Amino acid sequence: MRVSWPNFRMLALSSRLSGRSIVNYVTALLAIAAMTAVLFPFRPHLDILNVALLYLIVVSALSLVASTGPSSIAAVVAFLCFDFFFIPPYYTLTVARQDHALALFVFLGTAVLVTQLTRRARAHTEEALRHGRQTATLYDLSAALIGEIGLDDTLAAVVKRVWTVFGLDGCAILLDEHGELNGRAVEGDILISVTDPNLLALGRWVVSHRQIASLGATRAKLRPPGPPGQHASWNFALGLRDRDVLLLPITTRRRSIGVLVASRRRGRPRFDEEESRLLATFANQAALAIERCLLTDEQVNAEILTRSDQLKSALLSAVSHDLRTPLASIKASATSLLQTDVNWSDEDRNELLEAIDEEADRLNQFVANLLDLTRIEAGALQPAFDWYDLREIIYDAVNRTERARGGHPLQLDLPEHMPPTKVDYIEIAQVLINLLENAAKYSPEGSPVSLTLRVRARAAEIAVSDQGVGLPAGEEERIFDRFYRVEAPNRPIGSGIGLAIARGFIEAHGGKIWAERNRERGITVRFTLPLAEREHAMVASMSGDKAERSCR
Amino acid sequence: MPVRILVVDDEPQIRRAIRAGLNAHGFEVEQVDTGESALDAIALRVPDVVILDLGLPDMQGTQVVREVREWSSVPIIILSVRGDERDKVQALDSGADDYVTKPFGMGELLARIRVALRHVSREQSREPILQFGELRIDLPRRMVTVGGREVHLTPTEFELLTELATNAGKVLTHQMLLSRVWGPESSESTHYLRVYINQLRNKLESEPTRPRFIMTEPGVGYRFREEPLP
Repeated sequence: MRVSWPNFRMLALSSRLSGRSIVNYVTALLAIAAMTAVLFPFRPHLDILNVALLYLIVVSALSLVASTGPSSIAAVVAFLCFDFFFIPPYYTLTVARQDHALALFVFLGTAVLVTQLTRRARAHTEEALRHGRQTATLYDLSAALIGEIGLDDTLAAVVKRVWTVFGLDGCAILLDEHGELNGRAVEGDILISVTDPNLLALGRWVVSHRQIASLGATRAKLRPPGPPGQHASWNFALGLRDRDVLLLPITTRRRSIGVLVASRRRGRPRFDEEESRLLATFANQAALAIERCLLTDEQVNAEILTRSDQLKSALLSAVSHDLRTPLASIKASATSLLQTDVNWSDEDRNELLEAIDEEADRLNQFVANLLDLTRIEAGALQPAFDWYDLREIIYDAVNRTERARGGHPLQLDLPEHMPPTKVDYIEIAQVLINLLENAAKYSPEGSPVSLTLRVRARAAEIAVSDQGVGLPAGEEERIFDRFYRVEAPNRPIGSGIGLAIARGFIEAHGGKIWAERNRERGITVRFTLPLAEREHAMVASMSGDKAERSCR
Repeated sequence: MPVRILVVDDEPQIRRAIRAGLNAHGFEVEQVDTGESALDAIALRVPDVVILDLGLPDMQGTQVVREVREWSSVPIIILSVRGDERDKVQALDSGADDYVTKPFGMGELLARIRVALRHVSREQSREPILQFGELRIDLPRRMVTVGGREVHLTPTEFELLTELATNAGKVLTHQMLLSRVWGPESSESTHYLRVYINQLRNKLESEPTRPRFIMTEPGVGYRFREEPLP
């Protein structure tokens, strides 16, 4: 009985011949040839069924290790070899006996079945693996995004993560800000500038159509982003010939947030459906995180607006009082001196002039405080950190408050050794001035004011103590509120912003400030400034170059 | 011939006050209110000292300094407001000689003017021995004494002290000190400079945290006092 060639094309699933798959095909064929060569000498002693089983083992083994194409080919070749070499009449493809024909086709059927089953199992495994990978990367992204608070940090985290996970050459986010796309985060080399008008035009198209656009590495002429299918193929004349670029919309249900740009050089794997789907999922995930940041920013802005309104009204009342008082005395003194009909004694004239000078200083101090407070309230403090000896700043502040401290003796308690501290000199001096002035202002003439500096674990602690009117219990926190003023018998002049500024400055230095009621009378205001471990080390290494030789 | 001073400020009240104060001390004062007219005045009438406000309506004060320094070494004293440390440093590094922070006392401005004038006349003849109160610096012999007691300085400390003392009364920015003492290509940090200043103070001052000679100008640099604090 002659059996004609069955149509095996279905087995040889189309798969492009790459270098690697050629190796696989050759291996598969060699395996069958080897089996044939091994069995051939024993042909007289072997039962047909045994031969079929042995071939089957090879085919099954191949289907496990090689991909579908090579294993299918192996099945067919095994079938042919089996027929040609082991089924009489030998060296023909014809089959004489019916039971041989049956064995032959049972073999073929089993081989095909095994190959198909393995293929399906493999497909399932791959699917599961891919799924696992996607879940893991998405999880990574969300985990990375949860930690980020600021918008810029979040954008940077998304871009960096996408760039790493997908092995991109370049990645960027164009943020939709009031209808304008702005490149806000870039990782790697995206080649085209994020300000390129063509890129932005395509970005706008992506945003408004909420569709993915891909720029192939083809040499196709520039054509407008057309809607055929999910991918609008569009190519720029400039600079893109050697890379694939994918633009994905970042949107939430409520608004469009921007565009995720991913690019890869030619020669690296091109973006496939699978990848662009996963990128889109990434973009959605990122959209939620970015929206959260935008909402927080907007909320903060709204809060700042209300707070600055409150601040303005409080300022107005403080300003009207605290600006006018020194102005009034300057005006009075100056006009007195201008009077032509009075013969001022030198002493009187000096007193008036000194009043003008002092009140002008007070005005200047007040304006400086207002400016500082405004900067603190606006969150615009940027301390100019540098290394200083706190004792030097303390002496400076003490000198500059000489007049304001008037008749209060000052007790200074400073340590013998002090590591340099990284601070903004002007701000810390201002804090000390405010504390010393307050201490003098709220305590009876002649009562002492003390200032103590101590080095604690990882922090310098400064305490300013007075023996004044003190504080009602429970007010220790409130004195740091702006415009808060202690009710004192004869209320001293003050705007109630000195301590608010002190707190703003100290917190900008990463320190803490608080007030304590003294056991007997008055209060102590303490603040800390962090001393980094590093600072000690640095100082030690710096003084190391004392090795330099002394000269005469 | 009286010393001629050019005052550049767009506030008429400030100009009036400065002019009155300077006239009373025998200075001849010319006033202008823009950067452009300041450049003209300096080029045409060659004042002895320029007092320049950093916030002019038509150009940045720093820009004026830079343009003047291309063809003139006339002393320039900057007027600025508190909080402008970065601008001050920029103007000083561009070639301004000193600064006064508004609001300032007339005494302070006059002191700066005197220092600036002195440095012009001293530029040719550098005195070999400098004396500031108890502190005596013998430049050729590289010898420093405080109250007759000799103080041993390392070569770098000596260079730093010389730089400060020969510019006594004048502010020197961190950048100036670093490049003049450690060389123009110096990449050392201000922290490095601070360590040397501390070493100098430890050797020269009786109370190093309460300096009498080397004063800190926060955010800007250092100033060597011409007349040490008591």
